[in-house]
Amino acid sequence: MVKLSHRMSEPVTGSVLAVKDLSVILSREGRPSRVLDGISFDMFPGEIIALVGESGSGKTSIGLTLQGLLPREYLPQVAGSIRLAGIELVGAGRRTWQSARRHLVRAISQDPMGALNPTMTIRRQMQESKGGDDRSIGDWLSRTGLPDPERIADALPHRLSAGQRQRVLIAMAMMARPKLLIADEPTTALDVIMQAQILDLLRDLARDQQTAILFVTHDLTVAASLADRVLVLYAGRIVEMGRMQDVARNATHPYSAGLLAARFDLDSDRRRPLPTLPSERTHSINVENACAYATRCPIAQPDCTAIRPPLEPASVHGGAVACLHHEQTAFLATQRADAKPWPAQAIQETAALRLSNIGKTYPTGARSFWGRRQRQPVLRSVNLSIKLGECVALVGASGAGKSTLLRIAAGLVVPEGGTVTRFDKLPPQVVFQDPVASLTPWLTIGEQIGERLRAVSPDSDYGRRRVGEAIKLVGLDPVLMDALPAEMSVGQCQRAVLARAVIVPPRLLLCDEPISAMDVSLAATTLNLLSDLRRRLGMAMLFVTHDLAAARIIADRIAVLKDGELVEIADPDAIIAAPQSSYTRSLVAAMPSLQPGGGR
Amino acid sequence: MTKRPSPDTLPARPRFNWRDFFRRAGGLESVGIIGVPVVTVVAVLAPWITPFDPQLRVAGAYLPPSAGHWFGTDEIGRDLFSRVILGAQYTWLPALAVIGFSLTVGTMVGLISGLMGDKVDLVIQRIVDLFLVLPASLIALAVVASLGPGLGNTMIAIAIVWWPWYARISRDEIRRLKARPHVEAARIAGVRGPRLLLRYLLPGVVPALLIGASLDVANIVMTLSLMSFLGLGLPAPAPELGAMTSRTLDSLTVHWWLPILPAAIIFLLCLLANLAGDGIRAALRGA
Amino acid sequence: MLVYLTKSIVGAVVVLLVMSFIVFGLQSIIPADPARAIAGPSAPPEAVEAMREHLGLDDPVLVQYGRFLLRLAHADLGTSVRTRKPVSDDIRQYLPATLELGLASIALGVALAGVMAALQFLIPGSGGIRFAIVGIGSTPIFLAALLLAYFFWFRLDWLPGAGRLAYRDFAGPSGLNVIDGILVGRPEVSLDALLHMTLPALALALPIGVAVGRSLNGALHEVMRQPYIRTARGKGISETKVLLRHGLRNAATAPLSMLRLQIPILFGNLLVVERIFGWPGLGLYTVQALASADLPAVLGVAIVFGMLYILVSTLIEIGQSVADSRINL
Repeated sequence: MVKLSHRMSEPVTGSVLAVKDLSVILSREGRPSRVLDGISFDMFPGEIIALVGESGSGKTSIGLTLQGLLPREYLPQVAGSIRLAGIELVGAGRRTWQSARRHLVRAISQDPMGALNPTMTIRRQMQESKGGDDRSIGDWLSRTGLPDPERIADALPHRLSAGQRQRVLIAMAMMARPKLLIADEPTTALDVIMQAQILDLLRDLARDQQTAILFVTHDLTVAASLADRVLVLYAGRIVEMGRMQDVARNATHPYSAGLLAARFDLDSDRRRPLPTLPSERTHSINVENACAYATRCPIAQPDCTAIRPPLEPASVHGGAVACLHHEQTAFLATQRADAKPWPAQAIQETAALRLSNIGKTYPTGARSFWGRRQRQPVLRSVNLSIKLGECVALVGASGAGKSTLLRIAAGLVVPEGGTVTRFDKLPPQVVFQDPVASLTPWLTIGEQIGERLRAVSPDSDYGRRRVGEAIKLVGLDPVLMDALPAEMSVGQCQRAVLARAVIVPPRLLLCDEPISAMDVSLAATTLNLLSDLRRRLGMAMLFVTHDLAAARIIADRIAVLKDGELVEIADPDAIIAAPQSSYTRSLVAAMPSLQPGGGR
Repeated sequence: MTKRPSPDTLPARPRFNWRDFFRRAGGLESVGIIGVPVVTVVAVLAPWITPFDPQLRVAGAYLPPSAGHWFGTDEIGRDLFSRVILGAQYTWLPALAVIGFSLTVGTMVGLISGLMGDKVDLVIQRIVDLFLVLPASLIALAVVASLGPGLGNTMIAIAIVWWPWYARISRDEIRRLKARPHVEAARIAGVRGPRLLLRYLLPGVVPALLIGASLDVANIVMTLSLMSFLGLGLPAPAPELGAMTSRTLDSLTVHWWLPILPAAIIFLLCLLANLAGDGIRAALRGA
Repeated sequence: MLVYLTKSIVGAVVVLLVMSFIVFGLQSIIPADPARAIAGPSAPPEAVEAMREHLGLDDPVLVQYGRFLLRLAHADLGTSVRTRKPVSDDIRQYLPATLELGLASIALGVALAGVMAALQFLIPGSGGIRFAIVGIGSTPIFLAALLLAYFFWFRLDWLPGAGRLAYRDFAGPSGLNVIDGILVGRPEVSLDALLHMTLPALALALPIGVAVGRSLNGALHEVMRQPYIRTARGKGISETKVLLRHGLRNAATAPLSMLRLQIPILFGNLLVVERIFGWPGLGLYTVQALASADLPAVLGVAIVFGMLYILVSTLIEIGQSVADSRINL
């Protein structure tokens, strides 16, 4: 293992955390698998390190290992060394771990909705954290920017919003004044404005409290707006590490380079397809003596599957990289730049969908004795029309009424006021957020795609051929026609869902947050596929998202929805360059970017 | 996020696989899953497979269990093992019948409630709620007491309080499925009516019903034998297991096998049913 | 809270109405002859006819039902055919013994549930414990009672297995012997009452313990996987505190519902256990009433049990809302 010199000049004190050669084996259903493999890194007081990787890369396991909270049912075997504030934790007893968790390391998690005990008041949960008196609880709650801390302290968690809960969790963790804070995707469940606030809060806390923060994320852009250093994790190994800005500018491992290329922000080129990471190939290799990325790597050589690349100092930046051929990585970028631009899309004047004065309310609160409830408006007199061939993105925070509007357009929900006019007699097709849940588990892909043909032609050889063509159109192998959804990856499920939507091309395709739960690379792939299909098949599209960058990439116009009202609708670049409403302005300002210091 | 395979080529079809099913069910539970159909066959064939005529004196009275008479003989010299096998029929088949009836009625009511939604759902659910809080064994007791004892009356009484459970399960499952994206997606794809019900909804409801029903068999066997113990089942000469125990209660200290062994058979039936229920639950939940 | 109490009282009345209506409704649907049943299969036709007259069975069912409700409203449960006394007097006489035994069984059952869940939780994946629990859960109540009586009373003679008390002439103010023994300053009576209660209460507690324990164990396993448990562990508090403060309370709802479902089953089991142990309570009274086709007595007991069930249900619901304040009463 290569000894890495730490290049940050600032902290003069010793490291808070020293991880050496950390390996973790977890057994699921009796099958052991190595989720972390030879991890070594140091952290210094006040430093923020981003730990970046796809789902399944082991990034969450690092956080759990550092807290000693790996699930016991997976029979964790931990080897190597973790020294936290000078105390060796690998092989330590229960009491040592407990005391380490109490005084040294705390964590905040991805899911603020589930991370608070639903039957205990905030105050009692915070008292448990530090045995703190009431004043310090109030202090900490207000330091995280929560208004009316006394009221919040006495509330039960279900009274609070996701953003408030995440602040409570941060306050709860920070009031113990830990040396190390592990933040595992703390902003994934939040909208961008809240995300920006939480990131600011973490940055301030790291500085003021000299707490080291290990920030786990799949999103390099978010990482770049916060972290001092970055560790890129792939299949349980560190493939690249270095100063955040160095890696962002000169990614040296082909995987980090791919991740960087695939992320998109408000400055990405929207005239051509987004670069994507190559998807994983089937055959597994013996990773003991190979580069784990070799099966996906565009610059892989024969020796990549024969030698395990050591983590060595990188030539182009001050960090380290684990790639035998990292000098080739630079050429990847040039290859990508010359992707063909999208052909021009013919937009007609006729409206594919016209929504006029749409109004809708939902019942809220508890049911009264007779089953009557109060009603809360979700949409107030919304007017929106989409022309044939046009794509309109509908952007807004959660709860703004985006999905309700889409469901009204689809005819799934009946509005209380207003009219829905569609150009086509055929109902529009809908793509939902979760592609796996959108497929019936007990029917094959082919059967489900073929359902739409039944109106046109019966099950037959002809039908099978049509299904096969649709599957090919979305870039799947036709043998998958007989596969069950459980046998396919998320990306393949997404393509199957699209094949069902376009086997009989609709005039209008409605997409409900189709990329919000996806890794950066899969999101880019999906956006490319949607852009391609709508142009090829001449579909109009309503694309609902909370992600302004994705909206800008895919749409011809962006409509901004706030509290059930359409506050703005315009050309994407116009809306981003000169937002008219204050809400859109804050949305644009909150977008993270690779530039240091985050937002605009 | 769950880990998913990512094949470009298709693996061998993992269609329903018994070996996998039993592995997920667990070892003891698999014994139950196999035992339940075996018991059912034995119960159906009981009159033809008993080693002796259960109604006739075949040996001396009060013979303890031996190689010739596995469970001994009763007060008038009838073979207890033969009587117990016939008794299993009187307990097991009615239990299955009650389950079958409740399952059919309950599922139909539940499907109507879940599919129609709105007012129909509200009304049906209020009725189901009402039935669900009724104390089952008290109703059974009161009904049988006022109608007079008899196996048929007992079965009716139990079925009346049992069907709402399945109505609740199937209704909740239908409602859950209806809100799932894949059912919504199928409707958007143009699937309607019976096809939607049979292909997209019902297969999703069956596992929950199967789990519920399999775990209920033992409950119903217990309730039936309790009624029989209290003398509310078939009249005296019939070899009902509960009644056999109850009638010979006083000879416990002298001829222990007379009350104990019929009760032990009830125990065995319940054990197999419970194991099967647990196994089916483990196997289907995992899937 | 007031609204809730009103609701539960209304609910109680509705449940009783439905219960009685089912009984009466079935009588009219099913070709059964209670008069024949009561008079016995060998009774002469005139006796059956007289019995029919006596019970008012020739009137339309709705009239009978109305008459029944009217009497019920006056707390008049009719006269027992067997004891020739008002059913309400009989019930008043036998109720304390059953209450004492029932409450002891519930308490013991909940304790057993805790022990079983703790065993399963502390020794995960133990096939032995799991099998033992399924086994106990599959034991019919009369087998459990018989085995307990056979071994601990007849064979080993560790505990008494017949009757309620060795002191024949004892009568206390509340009718609950364990409490009365202390109240009147005769602790030896309390002890004797406890000993007599042990075997029947244990037989009754086993099914409660298994059902509630399994439910508690399942709920605990579910709860201990929740993210907030990880948050609690992340605070470095002891595992015991995590389990008690964060786990148990959030897992309480399901086992409490299960306990509620066990109450009617307990009533049925009381008949069997009181019969086997000669416990002079409502259960034994009912068994004797059933044997002599004493319909008013059986229906009277069913109504009292129904009301007790509603009372216990209400208490359990209040308990659930205390454990989880998101449940609004």
